[in-house]
Amino acid sequence: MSTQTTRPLAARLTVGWHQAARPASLGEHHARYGPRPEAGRDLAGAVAAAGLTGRGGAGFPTGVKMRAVAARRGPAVVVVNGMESEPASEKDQALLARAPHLVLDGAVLAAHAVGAGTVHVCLDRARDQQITALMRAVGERRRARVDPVPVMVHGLPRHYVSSEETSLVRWLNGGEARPVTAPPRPSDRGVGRHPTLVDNVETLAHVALVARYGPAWFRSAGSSDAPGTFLVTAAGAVAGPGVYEIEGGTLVGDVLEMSGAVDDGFVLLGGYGGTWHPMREAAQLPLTAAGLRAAGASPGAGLVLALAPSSCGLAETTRILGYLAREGAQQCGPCRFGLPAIADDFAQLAAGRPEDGVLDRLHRRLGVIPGRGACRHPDGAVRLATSALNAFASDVRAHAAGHPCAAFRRGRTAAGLPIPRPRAEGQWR
Amino acid sequence: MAMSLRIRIDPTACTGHGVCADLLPERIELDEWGFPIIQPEVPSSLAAPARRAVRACPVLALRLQRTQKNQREGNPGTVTVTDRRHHRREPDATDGVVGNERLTALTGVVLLIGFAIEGMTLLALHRLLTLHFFLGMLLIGPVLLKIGSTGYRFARYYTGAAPYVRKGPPAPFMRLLGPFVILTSLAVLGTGVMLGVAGPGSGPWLFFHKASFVLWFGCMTLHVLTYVWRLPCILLGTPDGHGGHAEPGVARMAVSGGGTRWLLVGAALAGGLVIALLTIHLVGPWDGRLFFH
Repeated sequence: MSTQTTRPLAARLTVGWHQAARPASLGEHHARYGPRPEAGRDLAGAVAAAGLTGRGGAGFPTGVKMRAVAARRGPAVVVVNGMESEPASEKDQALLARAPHLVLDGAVLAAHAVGAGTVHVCLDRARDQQITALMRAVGERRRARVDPVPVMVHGLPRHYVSSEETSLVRWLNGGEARPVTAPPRPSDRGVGRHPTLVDNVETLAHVALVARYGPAWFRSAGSSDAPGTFLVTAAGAVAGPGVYEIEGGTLVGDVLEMSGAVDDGFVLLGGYGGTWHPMREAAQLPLTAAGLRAAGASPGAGLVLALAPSSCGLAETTRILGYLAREGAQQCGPCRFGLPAIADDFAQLAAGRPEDGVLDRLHRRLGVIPGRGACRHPDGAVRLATSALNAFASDVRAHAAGHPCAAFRRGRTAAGLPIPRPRAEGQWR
Repeated sequence: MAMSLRIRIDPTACTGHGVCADLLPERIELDEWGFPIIQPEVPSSLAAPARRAVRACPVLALRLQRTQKNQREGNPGTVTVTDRRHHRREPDATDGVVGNERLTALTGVVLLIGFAIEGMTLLALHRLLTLHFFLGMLLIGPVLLKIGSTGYRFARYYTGAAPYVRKGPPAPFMRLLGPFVILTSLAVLGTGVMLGVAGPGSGPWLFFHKASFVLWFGCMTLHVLTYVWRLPCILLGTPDGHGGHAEPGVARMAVSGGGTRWLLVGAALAGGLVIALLTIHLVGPWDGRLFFH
C-alpha cells in the first residue's frame, strides 16, 4: 500500500446529493460539473492512464476494455449496466436517482471513444421510478440536442444473473436475460454482433469526470492501486445503512465506523457471492481488490454487510444460499443441481440436525462446483459457503454436533440481510 | 511454441448425457448429478478418444481447441484456435444417435407423404391403378431405408454402443409394435409385387394384399400417431422433451451429416424409381379389370 489518504470520505459523484432528493436536471448538472467536454478519441487512453476499474464487481480495467472495443472493425454499441441485482447494493440506484446526467455523459463520451452509434441503458424492470427518471433525463438531453448518438432506456427482468453482461447483450438481441458462455465476449461480438462496451453506471460516471478533469485529477484521490473514489453500500447491522463515497484504499474498518457498525462481530464483504470475515481482522484491510486479495476476498460492487451480533452466521448464510440457488439461470447442470444441494446441506447444518457425513459431502460439493458454469454465479455461491465454514468454524462444529447456537434457537434473525422474494419462474424475457 | 489440445465445454448446452465420460474416462468424470468434470489438457496420446468424445456429444457441447503456448513472452495467456475440423462430421453421419434419429424421421416424412397419396388412389382405384402400382413400387426404396436406419439403431443398441445404450430403446409399447410395423409393411409391398408378377386371376395374392393392408393400416396408425408429433422437433433439432433438454428455446441443434441424410433419402427414392420404371409394364394385364367387389 502506498499514499494512504487521511480523508476517507470524498465527494465527486456525490456532490450536491445532500441538497437534492431528486435527480439533477440537465441545467443543475451543468452548473455542478460544467458542460460535457467535446469527446476526444483518446478518451480510452485517458481512462487507462487514470487507472479506472469497472465498478460493477469484476474490477476490470475500463481503459483496456474501451480500447478492445475501439480496435474492432465496424460500428460499436455501448450498453449501460444499471441493473444492480445485488440485493443489498444501493449505490447504482442512488447514483441514478441523483446524477443521471453524469452517467449519460459518460455513456455518450464512451460511445464516441469506441465508435458506437447507439447507447442502450439497461435497468431493472421492477424499478418504475428509476426508469421514468432516466427516460425524462434522456428526453431532456434530446430536446437540448446535447448528444450525437441516440440513447435508449430498457427495462429488463430482474434476476440475480440478469445483470451479467452477456445477459444484457442476449436480452438486447431479442433473447432471454440469461448469461451466455463466453467467448465470444461482448467486446468482440455483442449487440447485433457489433463490438459492445458494457459498463456499470458508476464506471461511466467516473468516465465523464475523467473526460472533464483528466487522469491526473482522477488519481489525486485514492491510492496508487485503487485510484479515484468508490461508491460503497453499507448494510445489515449498522446504525447508518446507505451509500458512501470513499477514496480508494479506505480501510474496511473506516467504512464500518462511518456507517456505525455496532459490534465487532462478522462482516460479509463483496455481496452475496462474497466472503465472511471477523470484523476485527477485516477492519485492518483496505476495501480494494488488491488489499483484500490476500484474505481471499474482494470488494465486489462495494458491499460491506455487517452481521447482527444476535444473528447466527450459518442461518444467515443458509438464507443467502437458498436465494442464490433459486436465482440461477437454470442453464448449467453444476449450478442448477449443485447450488440447491449445498443450500440443503447448509440448512441441515444450521438447524443442528445434520445427516451423517454432511460436512464431508458439503466439502466435496464445494470442491467440484466452481468454474463450471457459463457465468460466475456458482463460483460466488461456493465462495460464500466456503468462507462461512471458515469464519464460523466453531459454530459449524457445534451445529454439526447437534447443538445449534442460541441465536438460531431464538428463531428469526434480528437485522437480517435483504432476501428478495422469489418471483414467478420463466420471466426471462 | 508448444501445441496442445484442450477440451472446452459449453455448460449451457450440456444436458448431462455422459457419453463423453464413457469415451474419455482419462480426462472426464461425472459429478453426482451426471455432469462432466473435465481436465481440459489432452496429451497427444489421448487425441483420438478426445475427438471421439467431442463428436459423440449428442448436444455438441464439447469443442477441441488447439492451444499455442507463447513461451517467448512467458505469457500464461494462450492463443486459442478452435479446431473446426472436429465439428464437421465425416460422411458417416449415422453413427451419431441424433443423426440416426433424424434420418429415420426424414424417411418417415417421405413415407407419410407417399402413403398418403397411395391411400388416395384407393378412392378411385380403377382409374388410378397405374399410379397406385407405380407409387407402391417407388416406395420400396424409402421403406427399405427406414428399416435400415431403425435396424441400425437396433443393432447398435444390442451390441452395446454407448451412445445408443444411453439413448435407450423406444418406449415399451413402440418397442413391441416395431416388428409388426416392419413385417406388415414388407407383407403389403411383397404381396403387391406378387400381384404384378403373377398377373390377374391367379392365386391368393389379391386376398393377401388386402388382408396385409388391413393389418398394416392398424399398426401404421398407431405408429404414425405416436411419432408424428415429434417430427418437427426431431427434424428442426429443437428440444422435444425426449432429448433431456431443460426447456424450449435453447439452441437449435445442428447435427452434422445433414448432406449425407438427404443423399440417402434421395438414393432410396431413386432406387425405388428404378424398380417402379422396370416393373411398370406388369400393371398392363390388370388394366380395366374390376377387382374391388
